[in-house]
Amino acid sequence: MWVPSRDTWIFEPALLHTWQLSAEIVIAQLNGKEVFLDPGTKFCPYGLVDWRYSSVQGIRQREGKDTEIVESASLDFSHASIERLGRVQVTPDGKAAGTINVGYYGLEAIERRSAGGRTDAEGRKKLLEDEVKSWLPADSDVSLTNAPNWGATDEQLGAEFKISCPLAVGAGKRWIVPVHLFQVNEKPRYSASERTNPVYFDYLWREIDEIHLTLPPEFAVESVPPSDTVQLEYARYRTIQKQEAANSVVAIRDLMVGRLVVQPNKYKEIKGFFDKVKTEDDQPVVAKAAVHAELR
Amino acid sequence: MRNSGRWYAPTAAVLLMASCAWATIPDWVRSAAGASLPKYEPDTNAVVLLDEVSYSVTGPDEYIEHYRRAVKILRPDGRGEGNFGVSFRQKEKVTSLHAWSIDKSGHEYELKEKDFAERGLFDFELYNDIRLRTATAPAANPDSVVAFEYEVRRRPWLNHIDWGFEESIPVHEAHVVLHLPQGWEYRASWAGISPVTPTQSTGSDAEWILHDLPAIKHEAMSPPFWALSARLGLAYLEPGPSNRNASSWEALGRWYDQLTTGKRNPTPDLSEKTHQLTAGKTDFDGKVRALASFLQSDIRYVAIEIGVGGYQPHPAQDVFRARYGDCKDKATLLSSMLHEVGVESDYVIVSTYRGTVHPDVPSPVFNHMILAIEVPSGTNADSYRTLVTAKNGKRYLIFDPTDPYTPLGELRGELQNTYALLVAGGRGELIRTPLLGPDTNMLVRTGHFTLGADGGLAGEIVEDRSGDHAWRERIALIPANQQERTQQIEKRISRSLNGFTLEKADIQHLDQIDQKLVISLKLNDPGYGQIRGPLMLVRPRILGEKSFALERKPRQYPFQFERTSRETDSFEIELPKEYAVEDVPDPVKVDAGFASYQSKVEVQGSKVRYSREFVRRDVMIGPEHTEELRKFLGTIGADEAAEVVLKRAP
Repeated sequence: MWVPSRDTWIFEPALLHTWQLSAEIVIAQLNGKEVFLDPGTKFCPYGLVDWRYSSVQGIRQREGKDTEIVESASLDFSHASIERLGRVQVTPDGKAAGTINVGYYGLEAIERRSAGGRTDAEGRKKLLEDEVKSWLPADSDVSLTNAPNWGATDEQLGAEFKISCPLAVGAGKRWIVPVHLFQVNEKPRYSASERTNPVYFDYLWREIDEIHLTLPPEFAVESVPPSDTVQLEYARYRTIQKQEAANSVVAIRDLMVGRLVVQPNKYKEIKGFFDKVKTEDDQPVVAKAAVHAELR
Repeated sequence: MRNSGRWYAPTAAVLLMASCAWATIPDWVRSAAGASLPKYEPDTNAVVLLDEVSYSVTGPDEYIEHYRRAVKILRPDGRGEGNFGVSFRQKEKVTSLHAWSIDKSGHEYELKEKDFAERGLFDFELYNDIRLRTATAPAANPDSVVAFEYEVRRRPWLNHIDWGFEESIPVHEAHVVLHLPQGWEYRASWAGISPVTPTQSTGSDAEWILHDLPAIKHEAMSPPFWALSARLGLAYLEPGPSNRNASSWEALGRWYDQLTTGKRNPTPDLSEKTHQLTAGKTDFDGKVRALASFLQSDIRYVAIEIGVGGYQPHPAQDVFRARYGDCKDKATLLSSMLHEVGVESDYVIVSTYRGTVHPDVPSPVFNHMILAIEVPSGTNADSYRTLVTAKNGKRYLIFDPTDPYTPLGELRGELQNTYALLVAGGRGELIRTPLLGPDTNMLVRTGHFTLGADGGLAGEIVEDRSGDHAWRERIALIPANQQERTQQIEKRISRSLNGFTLEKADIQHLDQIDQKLVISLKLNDPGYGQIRGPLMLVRPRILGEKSFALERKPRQYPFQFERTSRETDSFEIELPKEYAVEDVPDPVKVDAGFASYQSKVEVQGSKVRYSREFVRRDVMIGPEHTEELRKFLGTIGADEAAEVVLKRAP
């Protein structure tokens, strides 16, 4: 199947120009079913096509038959997900130190493996460490501690890190501790109050995060952000925060987006969804110390 | 390495049909490829094995430039080193052009002159006559050696050569060779490195060789590359009197004065317009301000640079008639108009990249022209912040007519505290532009808000901006339509607030650049206070971010900021009667010398008042202060994130 690359062009059947079509994917017949394959995209696993060639119209050619205009495979959010697990201990000076495990699945793995394929081991290490730094508070220290399976195609890309970063801020005798560590730097997704053009996501995606956060023993958790769910017809966000011990909490966050295009008349709805996500992501844990909680 | 302005990475690769069967690798490439190299850091992308340039001067307006370069690529990220290019101007001729590669398996490849594409150089100008010949070496992969050689017959406007030895990758061996005709002389000057003695010098010939120069690695906020690299300036002098060299700043000024002779001559219509614009203005300030305003608002910036046009302005009458020109055209026209009303002025050639002009290396490495307006003795000049006194005792007001948003008497940050060449009295004098103090560049925010029992925050903020704080906003807002302005303001607010509604944005004095820019915002944020059972968390710092992230790597170069600054925030929040203050962040006061920061939260009855002041006193912070800066920024970051804890009254 001859397809456009929808990061730059959407196929227009009435326009008789071959330059619209820039890539080829394969439709294989397997046990009576059609399977879309993308042998031209390095690291693309069986059964998946690069997002640029998914959900697009293109020209299909069958042996001995005329060509026809068909749509390529549609991918759902399970084909592009990131899972993160963090275990961090907050030290008496308000810094967090611990480990982070990240799994990139489907399209997320293809993107990183493709970028990694253009550099060497040193460059690949920097690529992942820079990405984790971009999630964490400023002045973070991140080092990759495992050897990710860069060359694999059919399994997730797994990476482990040792991290440290400033985290808790003082409020008199209390500490305010951000609990959604991977979203600390995220800015509101939409700032404009009005929108003229549709919102277009490259692909559907999911993020699943779990953070275990332990405070110094002299601190006690006073307040944990309430668990919440925000749901649209095509997007869902859920957080669960629980106190695990007097000085520790676990926070689970699950964000999923399941629509590629949101029309301008639904802009306020999608903006409201992400504003709410940001508000919930920003909810910190409040901790109280027996003595004045001065950061040391 | 590279001659400033003559080296461009090509954007298009050439389809290559070269193969090992046809390649003829010259001995100098083989010799360079066999060099024994020191050990480099693992993130070193490539190393320059040999960088050799030879200048053979054949006469007052011609020399032959012969260049050789061999690079070993060490990492995939170094593949760009296989892109080669040479630029040339009208009347210059590329007489030979070759490239070669030896891949890690020993296969050899060659590119010949026909394999190099030719294209124009797209830059800031509407048109220039610079052409490029570019190609990409085959097999430009890790462990390959790529090499490039060209020869160009150059037609210089000035008998001067600048050469930078250091690059973003290490240089193993660098040569600069100069051949002069009999009886000619040269003067070498150095920056960024102690003066190097020529390895051979026979009066009119000389060769300088440098070994194992480290890479200049990119660091955020560092001075420009050309300010960090080891540099050689070569002025070559023909026998007898000549006015086309840069053997000194004075000589460079002489050349420029000659190049611009007659360009400021007025015409009757120019003169008439000048008198029309200054009608009724009797004093120096009134006349100069009227003409400066005309240049800023009525003459569009359009650069057309052909031949010597990169240096030489168009005649004032042409700029006046066409109503457009580049920086030197605008300076020329303003100078001409000022003369018509009895105000004298002189050219000031400057670089917008602070540090690239080194006082020890007379050189035309400038990229901008502004004007020095002579302030008559007895004139009250108290309102001007950009005064410079020349060696001859004349007081000058420095002004940039190309900048439409900086008023007379001020100078935007990138032009402050930098060396510039004043061309006055038929010669040049190196001057230093002033560094203006923090009070000339202020951002003052004052806000009054009401917090609801549901956590909603509503209120107004007024921003008073001067200096570059106003300049940047004007650049963004003046060309924008109303919708775009609203979006830009919303985007700025969204760095601090989420889910807010901007109810009103009122902009005052947007076009009155002589006045402070005042932006008044009315906004609300329904989810500002975070309710947590009986507690509510409220961040008293409502808008504005002063902190930023620093890389953890050891720092090599200074941090360079454009200008000093004073920024204050004062936010008052009326609390809901259902809540009382339970906890407030501690006050912060830190003075790192180069900058200071203080903030405090006060509770006054039902109000919480947050105030802070950030002052940047210096524009250059040495690398030895990196940890101090990190700590300073960390303190600000923590203060910006701090919360007031409220508790619901029982």
